[in-house]
This record gives sequence, C-alpha cells and structure tokens, in this order.
Amino acid sequence: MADPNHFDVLVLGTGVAESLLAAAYARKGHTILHLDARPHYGAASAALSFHDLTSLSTLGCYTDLRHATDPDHATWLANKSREFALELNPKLLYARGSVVDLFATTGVGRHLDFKLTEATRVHRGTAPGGDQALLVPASKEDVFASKDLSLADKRRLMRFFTTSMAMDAPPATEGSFADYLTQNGLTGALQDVFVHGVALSRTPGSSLPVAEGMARAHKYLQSMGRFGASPFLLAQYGVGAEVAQALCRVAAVYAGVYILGRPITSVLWDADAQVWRVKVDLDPAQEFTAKRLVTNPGHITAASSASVGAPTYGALVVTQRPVREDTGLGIYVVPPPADGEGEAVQVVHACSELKVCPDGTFVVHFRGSSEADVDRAMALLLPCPEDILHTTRFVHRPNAAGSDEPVVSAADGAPMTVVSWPTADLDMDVDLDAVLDMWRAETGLDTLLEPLPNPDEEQIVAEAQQVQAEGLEEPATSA
Amino acid sequence: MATQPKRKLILKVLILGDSGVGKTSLMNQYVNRRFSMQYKATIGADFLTKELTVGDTVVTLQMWDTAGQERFQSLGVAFYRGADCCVLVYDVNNAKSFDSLQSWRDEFLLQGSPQNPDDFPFVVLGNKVDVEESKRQVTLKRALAWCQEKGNLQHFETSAKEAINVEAAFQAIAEQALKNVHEDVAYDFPEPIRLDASARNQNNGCAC
Repeated sequence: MADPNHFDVLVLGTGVAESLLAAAYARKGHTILHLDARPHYGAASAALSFHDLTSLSTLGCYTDLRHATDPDHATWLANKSREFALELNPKLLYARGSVVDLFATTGVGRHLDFKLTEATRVHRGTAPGGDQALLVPASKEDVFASKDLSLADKRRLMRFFTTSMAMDAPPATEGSFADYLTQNGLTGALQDVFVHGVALSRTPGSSLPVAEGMARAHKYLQSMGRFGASPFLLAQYGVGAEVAQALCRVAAVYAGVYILGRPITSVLWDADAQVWRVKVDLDPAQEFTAKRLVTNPGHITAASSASVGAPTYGALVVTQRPVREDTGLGIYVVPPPADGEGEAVQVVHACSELKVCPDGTFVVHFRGSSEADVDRAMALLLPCPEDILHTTRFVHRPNAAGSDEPVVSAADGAPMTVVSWPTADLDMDVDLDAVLDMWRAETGLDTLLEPLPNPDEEQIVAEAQQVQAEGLEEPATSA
Repeated sequence: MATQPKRKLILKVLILGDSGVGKTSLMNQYVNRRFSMQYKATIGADFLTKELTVGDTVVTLQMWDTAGQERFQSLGVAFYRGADCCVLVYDVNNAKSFDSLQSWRDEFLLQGSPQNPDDFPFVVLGNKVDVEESKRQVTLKRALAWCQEKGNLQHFETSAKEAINVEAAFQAIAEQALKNVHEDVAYDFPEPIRLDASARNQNNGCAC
C-alpha cells in the first residue's frame, strides 16, 4: 500500500451493522480503518459490566437511562461488576434465519457460542406469577403434553401447525392475522399464543396483516428442531457485542486496521481532495484519509439521519429469583390487556448459563410500546420487589442521532453510508436484512460476505502457502 | 485422513506480544515451515492448526494470533476467551517488547478470566535470536529472571527465520495446553452450540 494512512473505507462505530460492512468491505479486498472512541466493541450493542452500564445516561439509540439499585446489594453488585455482560437490546437468532445462515455458511459463527432458549411462554389473565403463563409449543410433543389445552384445542393447533408448515406462500386472505386465526378455530388464549408467541409480534393480531403474521409464524415453525426443539438461539456474553467482535476479527484478518478507545477529534469531508479526513488522538494526534465513510446515526446530525420509528420502552432487571424456577433461558410475552389499547410486552429471560450475570442472578429484559405496558408486565412476571437487585429503564429511539462525538454532517457528494440503529424487533435478522439491502444498493452484490477459509481444511493450508509464496525468494519446498 | 481418532482434542493457543516481534512468523514456521521476510499481517487465516502427539495423545493445536488488532491495543474481550495456553512473544533485540510482556500477561488474565489465574500456563518466547549478537537488548538472564518471578514460566529463545527452537517451543506449548485441559473443572452446563461448517449440514427435519 502506497500510503499506509489512506484507506478505502473509514468505519466509525463498532456496532453490529457497521462491523458487518467493515467485514464485507475488507473481505472484498478494500482497505479499512475502523474506529470507535469507546474502549470496547459493540457501540449501542455493547455488553457492559454492571459498573459501566450504571454509569451511562445515553448509549446510542438508548436514551433516558435511569438506574435503581437496591442499597442492600449495591456493594455486592459492585464487586461482581465484571461478571455481568449487560446489553440493552438482546436479540434472538432464529435457527433458520438469515443471521444463523450467514454465520454457518461463512464460518463467522466459529467465534460465538450459542444456547437454545428453553421455552417461550405467553402470560394469560391478570394474576401475577410465571406459572400463569401458557407454553408456546416448540414441538408436536409440547402440544400433546400440554396440561393447559383441551383435546379439541390440541387437534386444532396441530392441524394449524401442519398446514402452516406446508404453506409455501401466505394465504391469499384479506384482513388481519386475528381474523384468519379465528377462522381456523384459534381463539382466546390460543390466539395470543399464536400472535405473540409463535409469530412473536408485539402488535395485536387485529392490527397485524395476515401475510406478515403467517410469514413470522412460518419462520418460527421452520426453525423448530434444527438445533433442538426450540427455534431460538441466544449468544453467550451478549449477542450484539460478540457478533460485532467476530465480524471485526474477520475484517482484521483481512488487514483492517483497528483503533479503539482513542478520542476521535474530527471527521471532515475534504471536497478538494475528495477524501474524508479523520483525526485520532494517538498521542500525538494523527490524521488518516479515506474515500468512503460508514457510520451509525450516533455520529451524524439529526438532519442527516433517515431513521424513523416510534420509541420502544425498555427495562433491564437483575433479580435473584427467576420468573419460573424451571426456566433459566426463556422468552415471555405479556399480551395487550383484553379490554384495552396497548401492545404486547416481550421479555427475554437470561441466567448465568448465558454468561451475562453471576451465578444465582437472572437478567430479565422487558420491551414494550409504553412505560405503562412495561410496568404492567414487570408486576405480572416479577411480583416480589424484594427479589429485585437492580433495574435500568430506558427509551429506545430508532431515530436518535448525534449521541457520539464527533458528529459529522453529510456534505454534498461525500460518499457516506449511514447504517440504522438496532431495531426493537427481537429477530436479529431484521437488522441484518437492512444492512444487506444497503450493501446491495451500494455494490450491486447479493452476497454480503463470502465464506471464510476454514483453517481446519487442508485446502486452506494450501491457499495460505500460496499467499506466502509471494513473499518468498527461494522456491517453495514441501515438507 | 484415513482414520479418525475417537475424539479430536483441540487446544486453543493465543499468541500475544507487541507488533513486529514475529508472532505470525513463528506460527508459519511451525505450521508451514516457511519464513517470509516481508512484514505483513496474515491475510485470510483466522488461525492456524497443526496436529501433533503429546505423550500418547494426538492433539490439534489451534493457534490464534492478534491479526494486527494489538497495534492500537484494540483486541476485544472475545479474543481472549477459552484459551488453553497463552504464548507471550518478545523480540530479543527490542527491550520495549520485553517490557510489554507484563501488560500482555495482565491483559490476558483480566480479559480472558481463566478459571485458574494463578497457575494458567504461559510460555515465553524470545524471538529473532538470528540477528547479530551486538543488536541484542534483552539478555537470556534477564528474561529467565522475569519468567522465574512470574511462577517459573517456560522460556525459549527462538528464530522463526532460521527455525531455531520453534519445534521445541510449540511442543512445550502443546504439553502445557494439554495439562491445562486435563485440569479443567467440569462444566456445569451443556456445551454451547457452534455455528460453523458442521452446522451447514444440520438436518432439515422438523419437530412437527
């Protein structure tokens, strides 16, 4: 490389979306410089220690962080701080979704460890407690073994499962998902199980188009049984930060340059030289240039951000008692109240097996469309305040911008890609698909990331030798 | 391969040290028996593997280097996890790279959080002993004293270029790693799921 301080792409921020593009560009042979002023990977998706999380009031798209720690446990939590890997928006991977597919086909997945969720349950009624929840079937056996369902319901459910599975395209039916389920004899609590459990929709079934509802249900059903009964995988140590690190490792292996934890003093478009100029405080400050900029909305002015969307309200609770004693890793859904407005609240329940919290504690994430919804769900699932060690509440604003220094304003003709923040959808594929669309539009390529060489395969050793042979004077001799 | 061992024991080894001390060259010399004068980051190889025999056990050493992320101290916590042995490399002609060993060791113990921080196996390699003696900045005596102080760490002076002591060093690394695996405390939870090449062929069956 002629100028080691000039790059094809400057990537600002180490969130999942930015890291995906960094890996994709580097894999294609572009030179990349990847910066994050924070000392850790993940940007808004960072997995933080207890201390680091509770020191924040904003993290990218997550704003208005409010922390409440039980004073009797504050010291204990501080001592255990580093045993926590807390992210604000943990995502699920469908066993047959695009993220799992990408990881399995490219080899990026070898950097990550996953666990299956044990169960998805939909709370019913107004009485508190985890035992009020109805199990969302993850197999034929679950349906038959259910003590909550009548024989008639079991048969209806089985029939619906079977026909949904066989369906190649959504039914050509007008109307809502709720109407469609009603037509198929699935009503009441069983309908909640389908809308909020199987289709994993926060929106009530009456406002969910049938095509979307069925597409989501289909994905759930397809994903069952791949790695075990459950369709969902959770990543250990926090999915966002781990995925980001795995992708950044890929970019680094393809010669990407990484600088974390150093102040980025300025990023400017130089219209005369047609390059981005970035100054990093490496003591002394150093300037780098790049042809293109990739960043997240945290580094741009609100005016340049195209992100839209209603806020979601979240709460992260550290408790010493699980919602149900028999479930460490689980999904809970609290449906909208039968009588009124509102959306469902989705809950991701994690234990120390996921390596996100110390033994004997549980991290329970709530997300809903209002603070009141979240409060209601918390009261139903975690009815004993004395079990709760800590709560962090926040607002997830998909259109947040300008949270991170330096803030760049879009200049005319300056090559720049602004990725979206993580969405509030539990399905991580939604976030990946958005990046893939961006990549397609920019490069015309369908594949984001070509499979990575697998060092365990002999063929790759040969490839590596070939690469090395370029730098050898004497002819290569085989051992 | 004609016969598969009953169970393939994979030992994960991290190679740490300042930029330019020869981490990648050592790995390449050991695995491919090659040395390149050109300094460049290993492109396209996430890690290198080599099968070898320790006593009567066949093991696969999986060697990970820093992929250049050490240059600005930007290695993520994920990189440090799950190691069975950690190799600390310095350049005998560069005192600063030797001084850095302390912080590399501390960083590994902090980020990697091994279960046995007090007796986790480190192996120390002083590389580039092929360079003329007048350029040497770190004496063997000084290096050995440091290794002694840190819990009698095994130490080798090596040359990736001339293939001096490389084989012996990695043999020792494998022995240390294997010993660590044997001493590993039983895991309380089932093994996590890995999404790699083997997951590509996962059955298409459905629980329905």
